[in-house]
Amino acid sequence: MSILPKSRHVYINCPFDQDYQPLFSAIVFGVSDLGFVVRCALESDDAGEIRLSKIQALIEQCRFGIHDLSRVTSDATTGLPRFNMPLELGLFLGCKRFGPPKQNRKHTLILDSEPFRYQQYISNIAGQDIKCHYDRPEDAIQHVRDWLRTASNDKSLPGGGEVVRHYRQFQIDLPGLCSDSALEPRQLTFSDLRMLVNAWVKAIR
Amino acid sequence: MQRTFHIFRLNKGWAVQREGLSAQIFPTQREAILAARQMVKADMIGQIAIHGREGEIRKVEFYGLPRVLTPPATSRSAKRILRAVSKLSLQRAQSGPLAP
Repeated sequence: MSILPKSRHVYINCPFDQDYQPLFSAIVFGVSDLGFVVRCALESDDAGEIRLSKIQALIEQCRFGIHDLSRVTSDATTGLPRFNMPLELGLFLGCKRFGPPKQNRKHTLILDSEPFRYQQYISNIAGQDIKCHYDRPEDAIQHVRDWLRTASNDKSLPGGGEVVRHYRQFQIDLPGLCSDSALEPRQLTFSDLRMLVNAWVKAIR
Repeated sequence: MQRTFHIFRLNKGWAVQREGLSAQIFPTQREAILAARQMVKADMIGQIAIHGREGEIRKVEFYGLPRVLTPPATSRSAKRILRAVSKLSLQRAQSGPLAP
């Protein structure tokens, strides 16, 4: 039996390293503040191995997918690029194309750090919704908001400026909240970050 | 300005207060909730956080804002996080002046 995608679940396909953390936090915040549920491969066992079957199940459950290709660059040590993000993007597009009829309601947002950079390494995705965040968290929030507004057709979504304002306030409040919760801000697990964002949005925005 | 109205126990009554604004005091929680709903509806957009006697948030109502959905898996630190957020939200709401 196939699983129907949940109408407000958003799969985030991105790197999980420290360097990417500001963009990741901003996307998690933006999606949650707009009333959607963030899903990602880290949610069941934050430190564990990410298995393909787990990623496939998450993709199947989510109607929306955000795929950040900005870190598809050559590794300084090996000289090889990281291909996890393009692989997961391919799985998402494949699920939409070849899955059961309900899966063709999937929507995809592709993010990159520079305009048209993708044409040098994955030119076949031309024609998809590709936006450039220039490694700026607030730009990423604005793109996520505009895309979700169009893709979900939900007219109640607040404007990008309001979500960015909430995000700035959350960033100010985060160290104190972590301290009161006995958590280390630089070592938050995905589950803790999502919980902090959800609780903050419900109580303070 | 924040969009959240907080309802919390204050002395022998219940206060409705938004961060930076004056509080209004009502004899019962029910009256405070009804008044807060009227205030939010007048603004067209907002949310109401209802705090219990210990300050913990026990319910949130949304008006014209997207409903915040609960994720499928919770954090092991969930209780501590909720306590910390409830405490901060009350401190921020109560930073405004009290009604005479």
